[in-house]
Amino acid sequence: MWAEKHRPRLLSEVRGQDEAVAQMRKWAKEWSKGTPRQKAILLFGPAGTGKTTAALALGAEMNWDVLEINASDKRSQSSLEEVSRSCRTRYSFSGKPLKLYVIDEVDGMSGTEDKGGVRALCEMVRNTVNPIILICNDLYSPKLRHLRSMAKPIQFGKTRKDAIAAVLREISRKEGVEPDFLALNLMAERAEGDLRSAINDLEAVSIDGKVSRESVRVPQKRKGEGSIFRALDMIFDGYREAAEYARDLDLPPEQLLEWIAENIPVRYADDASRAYAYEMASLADIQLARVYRRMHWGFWGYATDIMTRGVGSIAEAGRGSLGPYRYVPPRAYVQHRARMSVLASLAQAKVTEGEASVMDALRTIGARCHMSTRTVLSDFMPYLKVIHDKRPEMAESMLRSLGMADAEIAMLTQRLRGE
Amino acid sequence: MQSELPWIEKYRPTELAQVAGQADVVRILSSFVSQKRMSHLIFAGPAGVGKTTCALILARKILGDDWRNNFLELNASDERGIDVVRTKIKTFCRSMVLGGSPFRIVFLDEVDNITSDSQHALRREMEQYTATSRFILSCNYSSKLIPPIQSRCVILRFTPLKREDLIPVLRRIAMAEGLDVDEAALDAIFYVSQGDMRQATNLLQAAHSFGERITSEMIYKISGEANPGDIRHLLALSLQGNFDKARQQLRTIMIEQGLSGVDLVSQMHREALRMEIEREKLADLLKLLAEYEFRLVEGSNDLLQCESLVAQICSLG
Repeated sequence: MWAEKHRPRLLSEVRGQDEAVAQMRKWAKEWSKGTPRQKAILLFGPAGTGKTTAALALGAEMNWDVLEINASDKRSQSSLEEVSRSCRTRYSFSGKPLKLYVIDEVDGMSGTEDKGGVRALCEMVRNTVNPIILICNDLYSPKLRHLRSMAKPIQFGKTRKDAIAAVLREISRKEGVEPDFLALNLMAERAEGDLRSAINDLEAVSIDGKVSRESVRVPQKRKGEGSIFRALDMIFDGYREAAEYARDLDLPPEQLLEWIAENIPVRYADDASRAYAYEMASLADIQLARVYRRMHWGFWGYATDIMTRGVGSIAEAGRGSLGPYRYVPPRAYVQHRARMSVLASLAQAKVTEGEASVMDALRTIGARCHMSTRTVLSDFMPYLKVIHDKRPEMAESMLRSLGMADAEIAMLTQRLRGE
Repeated sequence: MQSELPWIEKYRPTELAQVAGQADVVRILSSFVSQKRMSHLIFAGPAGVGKTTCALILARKILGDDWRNNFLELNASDERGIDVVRTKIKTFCRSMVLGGSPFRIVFLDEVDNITSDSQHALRREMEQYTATSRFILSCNYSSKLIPPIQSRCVILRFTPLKREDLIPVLRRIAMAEGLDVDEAALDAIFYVSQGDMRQATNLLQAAHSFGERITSEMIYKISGEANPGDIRHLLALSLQGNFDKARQQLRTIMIEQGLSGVDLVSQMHREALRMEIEREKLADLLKLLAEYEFRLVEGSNDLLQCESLVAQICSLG
């Protein structure tokens, strides 16, 4: 089991949970100064995000003895009583100062088997002179009604996609698997924040030192969710069912269009077909824009049909897919939008006129420099942004010299930073 | 900290003699100043060529010490409703000329943005208050004003600044601010600003935030315009039908510079005309550029539209 084999032993190796880890360390440090007010912490969050790993690693980092009790142990009142007794003393055979009690899957305590278990845990937390870490998925489980107020909750969020991808790369390197970035990213994406399941997936699809991209597509996480790669095959091969299949992907049409446009050159190499397919993509984009501009949802259907059936109409009839093709995720469009967004958001202020404070600030600049607010937006703000990016104090001084108050300057520079 | 006015204000000319270019206009305005009289004026011309500056100088020179009290500046694109014309302007024109000024001046900027209803209201006021008030209307195109207004005014056309008008001004600013601006950077500023002094000055000030030495790369980076050489390269690759390289070039330009689709296409347009392209192909190319600039305005995904444009150019054959 790679998930077990590569489980971090050090707290610093726990990925993507910096905030939680910092809180845990802070709490642990308090123990070195005596028994703190909060004797227990309650780690909560979805599966596979590193809660147990972090708890065990914290014990090691603090040089504490560690006793782990999870759902595989019987946790009835009577069986917990013994543990409860031992945590009231600090005597230890190993000579370590404290003993950390890690109680995993607290919300999974059985009502019948672990009868009275929760009450015993409460007793334990109340009387302990040793640190206790409780772990659960659902902070609001009724079973935690009492414990919630006795232990400090610390949240473990879903692990971010890029953090998962980084771990997958590292493990494939250690396991001598050729890292195929596309496949690893796809796995990271599918894991939906569950790092452990992503590692399990990686182990499952690594065959003879290679990640087989074909098999990565095989495991289906959610029911009814197809694969974008299959959809692209169907679209570019001109299948009648392509539109239907694409609609079921649970992917917004804007994103589907980007996947298609990105991969047109992968499938259509000759000038004429490529130009034709792009023509369709361009028209589909215009339909999508019209949906919002005219508030008419009917255009959506045309957009999807044009980007699927329209694009595919150039495919040679009856010729099946010769794949697999190296489809590429459409990152460039996202990058371009991100690059554009700050100025666009400033421009938005004009369009909606919703934000009176921004408009007032623009008007102040305009009055002082003899420009309309529109001209301020188009001919002044972009340069102010450049100056602000490089030398914020220079931009602020400019605004001050135009007679702006501190609050106004703060508001405007915040906008310039894109916040 | 020393306060730093935007240079467009810091270096705005206060004498007609300092106004760059516009020799014909300046000659007429100078005679107004020396005679302390003027008719209603229309300043027509593109952005950043001195219209507002000239209006401010006229006001100061003709109205004298009390110019602030007798000068009303309104920006028609912010205040374009008919009630502004009926209330603000009317109230201003009706009241007495203060101090030693010969009359009052109403300066309406971006006047081609006011509705034709307001223009008609304005027309009445222009004749009603000639005893006390003069109007200066500034606009990009005088033809957008209704004929009755045009006929009541002297129309003065401001032209885009030429290289020899713009660059000496930039040099003066650079000298005053202690900047080291090389010839290539000045050329870049002229290329990007296309004779718009406001843009040129803003560019220079923004570049100043990078340091004392200003290069052409900085200018292109700041302006959000691509280096013209990069655009020509993109066009050349597309015309050769080398789609993969052209798309790569396109993405480099658009993502690194944060260029909008419309900006890119209009720059392609500008560069295409300067390149050696056989005329049938150029005609097809221009049709495509026009069509895609339209689609960019209509559509939503800039990069996708531009890629499609490149794909179309590749298949021109």
